[in-house]
Amino acid sequence: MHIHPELVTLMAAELIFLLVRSPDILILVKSARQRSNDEQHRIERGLARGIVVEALIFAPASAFLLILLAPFLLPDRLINISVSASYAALGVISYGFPFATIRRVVTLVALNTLSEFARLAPPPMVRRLVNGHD
Amino acid sequence: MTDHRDEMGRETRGRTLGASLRHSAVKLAEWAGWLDFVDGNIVRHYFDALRLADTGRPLRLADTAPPKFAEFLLTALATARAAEAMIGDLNERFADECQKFGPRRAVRLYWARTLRSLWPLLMRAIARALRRNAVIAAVRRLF
Repeated sequence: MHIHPELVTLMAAELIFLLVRSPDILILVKSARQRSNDEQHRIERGLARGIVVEALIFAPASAFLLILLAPFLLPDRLINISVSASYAALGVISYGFPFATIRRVVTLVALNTLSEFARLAPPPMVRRLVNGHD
Repeated sequence: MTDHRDEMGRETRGRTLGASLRHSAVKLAEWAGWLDFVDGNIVRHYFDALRLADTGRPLRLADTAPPKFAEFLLTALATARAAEAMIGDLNERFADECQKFGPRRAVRLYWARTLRSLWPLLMRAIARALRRNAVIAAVRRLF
């Protein structure tokens, strides 16, 4: 059976996503009673949305980007051994770069910004922001 | 007049590229669920501070009111007593969720619940209208 090599990349990216995020997916399939407080907090903060967005947008986009760059990334010698394996490796790599790298950088910047805000904004100011007065 | 100051009280007219990128990073990370381990209140207060810097006004009570159009739709399609009960229930949940998730998500959830209730209400309204038309047509045939 012939599978299009680009499809192999996409499947590999989705499978590596499943492997990496399996603990989080497990939290999603648990019932509210089975979850710990931390897990419930993560659900309320948008864990489900994060998983869906990652599976449907980020992982495929990252794989697609590497497919576009495949001619530069895959040497002929490697493709001659096995096209499917080469493209599957591309899919596995695509989860780490660019997606996971960008996620790490963006999360780090966001955390730094939030921690700076939490450190500098005095509590009365936070109260005023919420209530409109001190 | 708009107060061009950010959450730290600094001038924001001509906000630097670095600051804009940092704000975008927080927005993207929050949307994508990458900050699910962070306390939601900090993120909410941060966005409120940004809003204050951009508009010069803090979050008002009007911003945390349930969506009026959704209430109107429920009132229009349900019977008076059912509409009152539904709106009361939705508003109670809305107030809870405003505290828990912030007004924007609470409004989205309010709309989701309203739309879920609207489909059966709409079907019932159509069935009622058809029944009324059938009765009118029967009366016309008789006279």
